[in-house]
Amino acid sequence: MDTFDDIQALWGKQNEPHPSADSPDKIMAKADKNKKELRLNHLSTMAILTVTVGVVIWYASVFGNRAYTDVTIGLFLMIASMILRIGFEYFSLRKFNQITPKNTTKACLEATISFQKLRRRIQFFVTPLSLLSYVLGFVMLLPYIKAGVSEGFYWYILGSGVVLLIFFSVIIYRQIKREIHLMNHLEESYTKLME
Amino acid sequence: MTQAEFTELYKKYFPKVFRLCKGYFGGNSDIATDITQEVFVNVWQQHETFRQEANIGTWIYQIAANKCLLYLRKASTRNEQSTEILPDVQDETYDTSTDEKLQKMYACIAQLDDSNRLIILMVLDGLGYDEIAAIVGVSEDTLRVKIHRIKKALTACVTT
Repeated sequence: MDTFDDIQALWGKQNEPHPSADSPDKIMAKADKNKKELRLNHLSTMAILTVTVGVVIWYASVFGNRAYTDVTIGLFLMIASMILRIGFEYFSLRKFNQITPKNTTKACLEATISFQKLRRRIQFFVTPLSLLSYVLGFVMLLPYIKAGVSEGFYWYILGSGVVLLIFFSVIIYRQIKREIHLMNHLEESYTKLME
Repeated sequence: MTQAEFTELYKKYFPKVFRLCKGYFGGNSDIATDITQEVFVNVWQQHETFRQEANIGTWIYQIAANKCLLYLRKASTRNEQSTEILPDVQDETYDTSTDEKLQKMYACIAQLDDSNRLIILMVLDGLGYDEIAAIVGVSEDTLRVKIHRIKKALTACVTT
């Protein structure tokens, strides 16, 4: 094999592939099912988010003016941080799915890079904010938890809360690291394409 | 697009898309099968948006190329690509060294960067420069220079 023609000839020697894939009928059925599932998934996520926000608003309006204002604010901060995070991830996923693959490689890479840049900017703003909100809410609740439960259970709640926070922080850190790596890789691909 | 038309398209383009994906993922048939199926799921889901004046083959290749490129976002497989699964060969001049040569070729293709890998795989599959330029989104002149460079690099890798 000395020339590119030899390589091309070798490539041509491969059999027509017969992969163990689904038949066209199954592919069409799968595509239609996926479409329906996506719509259903979107609706159910929106419903869950709306109900959760509704419950938080209702809770704040009913108990907001009572004696345990710190409890209300604390709970609100913790729930809000989670809603913020889930909402961000969900809308981010939807935005990514809108990047159409039926475009030129150049356009698709440009759209993905711009999406990743936006995500990175939000990630550096929303993530610390939601973590801060969660910690603040948790700290505000601690005195009330201490007053309401046994000392052993209090330490258990405190310990598990800290462990959970560290666990989620590690997951988020790894996610951000992976996204930065992906971003660099996409940018490198784009630069090479345009060279 | 009717179901019969889709079936025709599927029969015609499945092997081409599969081969492109398999080459892109270093000979990994499992990933190639998954992506190829995803490509045709997309084709069926989005066939209404296809402009009739465009070339359907180019459209399918665009989806395939972008699915391969963005697979990294779905799973970190870049370092896990396998070259163990090799294609069957058909030819009377087949000998045992063909396997080794193919293995080396897949390994050399895997060393190229993403976009170059896609481009050379389309060249190997016999697509015209105009078609590849339309799929990738660069001018034919730029593409010509790129392909010259990739061919040189690939030949050097395979022959050493």
